[in-house]
Amino acid sequence: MKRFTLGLLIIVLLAPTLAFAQTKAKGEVVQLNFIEMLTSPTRTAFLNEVIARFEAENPNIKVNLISPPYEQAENKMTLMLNAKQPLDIIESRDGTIKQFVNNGQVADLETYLNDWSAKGDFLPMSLYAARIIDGKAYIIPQLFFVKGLFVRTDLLKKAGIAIPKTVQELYDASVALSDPSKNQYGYVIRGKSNAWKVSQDQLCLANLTNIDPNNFYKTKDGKFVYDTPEGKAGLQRYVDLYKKAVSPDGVNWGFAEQINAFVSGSGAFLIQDPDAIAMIDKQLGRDSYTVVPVPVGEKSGKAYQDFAFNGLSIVSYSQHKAEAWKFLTYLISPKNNSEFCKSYGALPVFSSSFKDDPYFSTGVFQAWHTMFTHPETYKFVNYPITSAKFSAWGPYQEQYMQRLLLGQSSVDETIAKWASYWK
Amino acid sequence: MNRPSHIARIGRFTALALFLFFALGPLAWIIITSLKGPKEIYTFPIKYLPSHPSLESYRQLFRFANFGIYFRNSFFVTMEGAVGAMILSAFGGYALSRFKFKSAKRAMILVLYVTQTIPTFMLMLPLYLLMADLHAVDNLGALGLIYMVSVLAFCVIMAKSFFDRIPASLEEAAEIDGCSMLQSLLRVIMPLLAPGMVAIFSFAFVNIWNELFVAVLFMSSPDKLTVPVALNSFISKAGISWDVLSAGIVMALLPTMLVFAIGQRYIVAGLTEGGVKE
Amino acid sequence: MKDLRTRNLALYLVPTFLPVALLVYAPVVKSMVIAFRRYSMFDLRDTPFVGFGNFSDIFGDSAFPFLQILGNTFIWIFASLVLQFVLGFCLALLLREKFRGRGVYTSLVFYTWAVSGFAIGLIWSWIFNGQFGLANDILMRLHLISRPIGFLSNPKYALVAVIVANVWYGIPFFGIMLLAALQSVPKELYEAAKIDGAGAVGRLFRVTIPYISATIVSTTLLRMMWIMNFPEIIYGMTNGGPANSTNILATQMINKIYKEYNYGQGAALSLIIMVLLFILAFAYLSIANRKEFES
Repeated sequence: MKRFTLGLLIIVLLAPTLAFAQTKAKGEVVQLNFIEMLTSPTRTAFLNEVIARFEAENPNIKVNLISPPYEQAENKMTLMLNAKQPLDIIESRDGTIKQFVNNGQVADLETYLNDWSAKGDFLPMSLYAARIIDGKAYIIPQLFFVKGLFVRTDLLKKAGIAIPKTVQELYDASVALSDPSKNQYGYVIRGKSNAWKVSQDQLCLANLTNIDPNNFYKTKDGKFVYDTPEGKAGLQRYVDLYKKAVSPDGVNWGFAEQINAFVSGSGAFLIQDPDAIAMIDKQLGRDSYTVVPVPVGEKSGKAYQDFAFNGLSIVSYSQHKAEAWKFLTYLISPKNNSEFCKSYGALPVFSSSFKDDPYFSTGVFQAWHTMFTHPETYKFVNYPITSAKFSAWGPYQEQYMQRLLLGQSSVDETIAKWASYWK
Repeated sequence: MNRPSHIARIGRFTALALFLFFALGPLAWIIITSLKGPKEIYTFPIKYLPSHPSLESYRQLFRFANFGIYFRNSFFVTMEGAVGAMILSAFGGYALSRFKFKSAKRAMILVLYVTQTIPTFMLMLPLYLLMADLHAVDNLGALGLIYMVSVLAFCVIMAKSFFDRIPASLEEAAEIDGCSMLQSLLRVIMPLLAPGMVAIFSFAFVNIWNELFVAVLFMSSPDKLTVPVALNSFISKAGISWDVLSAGIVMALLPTMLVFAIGQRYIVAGLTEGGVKE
Repeated sequence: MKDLRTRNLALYLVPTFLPVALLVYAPVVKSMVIAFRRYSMFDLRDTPFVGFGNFSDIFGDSAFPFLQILGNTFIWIFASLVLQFVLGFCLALLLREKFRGRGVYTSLVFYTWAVSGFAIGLIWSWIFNGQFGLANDILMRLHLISRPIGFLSNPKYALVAVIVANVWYGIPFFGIMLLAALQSVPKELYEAAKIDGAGAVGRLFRVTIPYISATIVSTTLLRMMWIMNFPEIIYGMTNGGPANSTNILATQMINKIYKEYNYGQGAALSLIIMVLLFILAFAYLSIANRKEFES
């Protein structure tokens, strides 16, 4: 009886280990493991469809798509890479590529890139993005995220207000539209989760004229951008905008809340990426809203945005780099890239997409076309993504910005704290 | 025997009604949200009843997600963890309750309580690296084992307190009658503890079923995901689709609600009937 | 016979303590080592030993004031705990005597414990939504407020909102455990107390509570630890904001790991959590109930 018990206990404990058997792909089929990070139901469905087509054309390659939920995806990717889990292709972006290069986890794709037939079709920005770390191609971009100004044309028409072209006009229009007693506000703010790069920096710093293109936070003569008269005035105006034309709930608004506010009409102006279009279209018709280029600084005549992109990298310890490159270039090919961007709502990386497909130059996308074709007005600058301090900047900035908006501190204190971070 | 006064009875009824309203209100609200179309969700003032109730969100949920598979995975992992923990805690709790050496006993109880002070996040990185070395990631069996160990300490603590209520004289009497120690445990004591075991199982089941972060980390293949992971996938950079997510929350809630509804009845029905009166 | 008995008992303990040692304590020790290094995922080539460097960074963090985080943590734990316990106990007392439909009632009222933390965060952030939320709507219909309150965007209300959600979730734990304990109180004790002239309240404090004190102590202690280490509700509702007003040690730890990839500070924060809980547990058990360790 005792031995029976002991046996039973051992079996209960060890039974799970019997399930430890690892199935290995047999034969000559190459198994690629591809992890995405911008997971969403539509996107995963699209990727699976492309994978099915690819596998049909390449019967000796199987692609295994790993789709962790968006909020945990990058963390999981990082841990998998650290544990040297079998991965061949990862979805990286401007904010994470430096980390992967530091840890030696992504391969240098220069030789592949130079032999690539579609390289000539790449936008100049795409090539620039690919080589952003150390001038070597560690990432092949697939999506550009550029902000546009979303406008509730129906609300503007009702109030007889014109579409703003400068930041000051945006401010004035937002204030004019706001009527707190009717729960009506002008501007849809981003209050948390990377508010700085969604729209805060753009609006506050629009009037500067000498921003360092390699570091959004430094002027060409090395000063911290907010520590200038234009920067300080911009920040002050932003706080006034919040007080006069934004729902007080705005401090807690992330992407979802911004969309809600815009479609419900409690805000008329929203600065966001094109992936908002899909969400907004579901609940609002195109006759109620449109997208225009982001407002320029009224004193500088220029608008600044960060150079945000997402792409694919090949893992350095992958055993199947050639096959991985094959799939990578299948996914990032002019046709598939266009389709992808249409379903996801980002901007493609090939010039032929813009030339051949009217989708990207008409309708609401006209706004982005305008911005891309007028580089003297709409300038793209880089955040200091290679700095070790970059990943902790978001939470740091947010604490002081929220305190400022909530009236717990002053503009000068906030600027001082931010300046001390980047010293 | 005092007859409860009218006021006391009304008071009691009101209090019970308030508790029920507080508990069920949010659930009713989520169910209503899941029945509204996307255009009706963001209105102010709020619509309390959908004008065109539809099961569209549920249809979308099942279209996008392989819910049948996720349910199966969750069930497998949760049963492995909960049943395993229940069995092990029966033995462990019994032993801890009857152990004679005071200082060793204190130390062991302390060791168990201390496990409850450990934040899961602290364990995740080293546990992942350990499991990766053993080739046990992306493996439902291993996940079940991890879950079992994660609830084991609590189950043993609870089991011990249940066993404490049953006097040792009972098994001693059985052993005098000729039972071995194991027999006395299984045949005499355990039947008294059946409701307690069900209670422990219910708690373990619910905790494991609802776990998210460890499941996300350890499982990668699309056909090995659990229900919470699948639901969390509806939150993306492109925001939260409240209608589909509400439908998902309702669906995911059903099994745990059922298990817990059954489990708590056993406790309410009387935990120590029969054993205590000496 | 005694020796055999003890040996068997020890054997029964192995399947519990061996897995716990391997899969809980071993990883914890590894994590503790990380707490004393600068360990960021940004650059794994550079993880020097920094002694208490992570801790001093945490204590001196000006963006996330440590004292505020500590204060939030204590309020979060004790407000939730007291409210859940009192309400759970009331519910248990109300349910003690059978009534028609009690089985169905308890199946319904106790379900909130079965909801996942992530879902709770979503449900309650939807209810407390500053524009389309149920809470605002009800308050406005009752004419208690004239404009919607941003519960989750106002530092004054945010902590209250997350505590409400936590209490909603935790009542069943106490309700069930205490109800079970109440069932075990022998009726003779109540008879004796009544003969002594004790009223309902007197019986509560002189008979009921002392009899179930062991259960009260173990459940409140466990629940306290779980509340500390269950930040999913806050994470889902406010993620520590706005402006650090709902940030507790556990959410700060999560954010250091997930947003900043700073595992060194994350591990240091978990050590702080463990030490804090250990001290609280030790103090609580020493004062409240020596019997817990002995019986």
